[in-house]
Amino acid sequence: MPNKIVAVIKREYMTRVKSKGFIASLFLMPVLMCGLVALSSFLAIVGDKTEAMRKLVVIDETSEIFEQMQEAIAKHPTFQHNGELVYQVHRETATTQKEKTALQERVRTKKLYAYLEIPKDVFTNEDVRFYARTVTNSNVQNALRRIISDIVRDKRFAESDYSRSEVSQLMRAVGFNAYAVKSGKGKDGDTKVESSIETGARLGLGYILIFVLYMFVIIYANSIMRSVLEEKTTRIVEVIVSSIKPHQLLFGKLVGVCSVCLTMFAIWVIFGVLLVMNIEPLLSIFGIDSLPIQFIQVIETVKASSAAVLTYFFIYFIIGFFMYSTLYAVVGAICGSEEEAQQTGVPLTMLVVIPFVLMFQLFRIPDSTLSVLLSHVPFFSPILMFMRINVLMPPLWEILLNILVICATVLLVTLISGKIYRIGILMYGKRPTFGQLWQWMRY
Amino acid sequence: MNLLQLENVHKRFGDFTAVSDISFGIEKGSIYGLLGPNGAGKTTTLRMIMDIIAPDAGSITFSGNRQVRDFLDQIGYLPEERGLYRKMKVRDVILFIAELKGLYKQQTLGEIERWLEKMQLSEWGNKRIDELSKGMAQKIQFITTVIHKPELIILDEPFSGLDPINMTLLKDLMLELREDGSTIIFSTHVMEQVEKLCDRICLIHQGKVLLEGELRAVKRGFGKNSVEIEYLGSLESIRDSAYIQGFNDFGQYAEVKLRNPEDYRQLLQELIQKDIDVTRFELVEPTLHEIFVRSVEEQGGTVQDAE
Repeated sequence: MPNKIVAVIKREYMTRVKSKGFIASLFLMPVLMCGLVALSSFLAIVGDKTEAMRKLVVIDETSEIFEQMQEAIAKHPTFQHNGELVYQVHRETATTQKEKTALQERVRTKKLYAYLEIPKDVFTNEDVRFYARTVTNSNVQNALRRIISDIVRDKRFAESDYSRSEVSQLMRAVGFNAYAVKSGKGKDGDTKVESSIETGARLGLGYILIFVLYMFVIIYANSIMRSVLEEKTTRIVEVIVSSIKPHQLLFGKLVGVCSVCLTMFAIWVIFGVLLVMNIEPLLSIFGIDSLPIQFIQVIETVKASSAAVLTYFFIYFIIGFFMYSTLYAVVGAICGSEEEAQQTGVPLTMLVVIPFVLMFQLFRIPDSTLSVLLSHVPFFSPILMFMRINVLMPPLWEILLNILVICATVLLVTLISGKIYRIGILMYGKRPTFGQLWQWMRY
Repeated sequence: MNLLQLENVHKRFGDFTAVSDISFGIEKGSIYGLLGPNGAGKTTTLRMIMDIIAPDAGSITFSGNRQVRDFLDQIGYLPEERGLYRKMKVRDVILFIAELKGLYKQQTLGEIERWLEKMQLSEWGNKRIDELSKGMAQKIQFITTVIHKPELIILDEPFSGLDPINMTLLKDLMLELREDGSTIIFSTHVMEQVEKLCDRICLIHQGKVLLEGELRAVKRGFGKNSVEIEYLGSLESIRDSAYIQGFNDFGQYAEVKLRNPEDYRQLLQELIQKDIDVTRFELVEPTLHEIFVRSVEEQGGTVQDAE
């Protein structure tokens, strides 16, 4: 490769790799990812635990439930914080509408956390009503529902001829485990089965990779756009294109920035591999010697599937990156300021956002006609085809064809974009119209 | 053979003719001035030489070759609009542009130090471009233009934005580069700057060549139609004479512009007749600006640009 293109690649690469942003995202991204997962599971467990006392008023029209309910609440972990009960449960009566309005007023002014109406006919058919300022906290509601249901069921059983323990023994649900049948060398043939834990582990890895692909394409394609714009607004581009052809400059830029991403991925992959390979000795440092079977299954699945998945990830990242970034570079070339470029870039961002959003629905139906068709739309492929590979491996010929089609698209996009880019970077003033762009393309 | 030759070059942008039928040649080892007011077509011409934009018609040849693009590494170009990567360090920027010109790192590092020292910017080498003053950044950009020892140096308005000290520094550098065998073409709209610097000039106006030739020959061709007089007494009695075109009186010194160069005899006679004590009477060459204004008027135009 000519020394000149190497110079462009080197500059794009070094200025980014040396920047604080690169070092920061190198460490922060994994921390942030883990942190996000940890935080969401923490929130799910903690729910809305409260330290302050919450008052809960119960209007028990049956007069048979309250005492038992109070006892159950006192023991239930949902109503505790650090082992202390943080809910005060009172019984009150409110029969008239006026009294009920007064209760609601107390809820509104935060004197009460909530109040609960247990109607007389709760044993037969009527529903319990729960009133609070917000009803989004399902933990407390579910706990109350279970407690009251238990009491009501006990009551029903007591009045019937059945014993509760016998009935629940007879009514218990069967266990249900899902296995994905895959091609591959199993014990007795060309298929092997995968448990839902294994599928979950594989999909989890896939999701993380799709997310990384999505985020890096957007971030670094924008970075290319800004860099084109910088060269244009500082007019240094005149000096550059008087030494090197515009398409060489564009190519150097794309390769340079793509290498930045690949460097970051490579570092993560190396660390990830080291981590997974040495997970047992690492955990034993923290005094964890025996791992739960599910955890070992997850680790084994990741070990087994990551080589293939990562290979596809790198392929789809690189072609996706080139496809989107070339377009962003053109936006940088035809605009005169960052604001203008951000606006013009919105439709392009949609090209990445749309498949990302669709993915959340399409992964349920990976082999439907819709999924297959959409995954072959070149601009959607990097995300949707990669999703299909993760969920339900398409036939190899389909993947190869898809890669071929995208490569052809990349080539086409680069040819067209290169022409617009070449003229755009040297044009100042008003953003060109579509008519003008068409003319530039045909130069 | 001229190092650079333009023949009947045309360039239109839509309905606007930026450059019309421009021809000139630059001899190797000379300094060539491209002069004209703003919007005359100077930058367009230089960009066409650099192959940044393509001419609609005509030819541009470098050492007899029509593919100037193949020789870009032997050309240094300082664009009119200055700019460098703002976040990069001075040495890195110079090295990057040198590498774009096909140089290798090892052969360039010493050269960078030599130039930084020459420009008295050595201690700024590790600073970022956006920490530099505008003048310093311009000097760095000049270094990037000449770092690869180009045969042809193209400078678009090199003096704009420079203080008098740096202007002198740049003039000296240009002369030095010519001594070393480089050929320089530069544009300017401030015509006084080029006196004594250029070997040849080209005056362009509204995309057309008004005048082209050796600087001395151009001036001689226009004759000496200005007279400087130092005197005692008053010149009031002669100021309205028919042969006088312009009159600028400073009390004991006056600049008189004549309609025709030969009219100086009449003026001298009249001064003697009117018994005015003259201590000095000198015919002076017209300034380039005057030549420009007169050439425009001769072609039936007016100079809108007041400068």
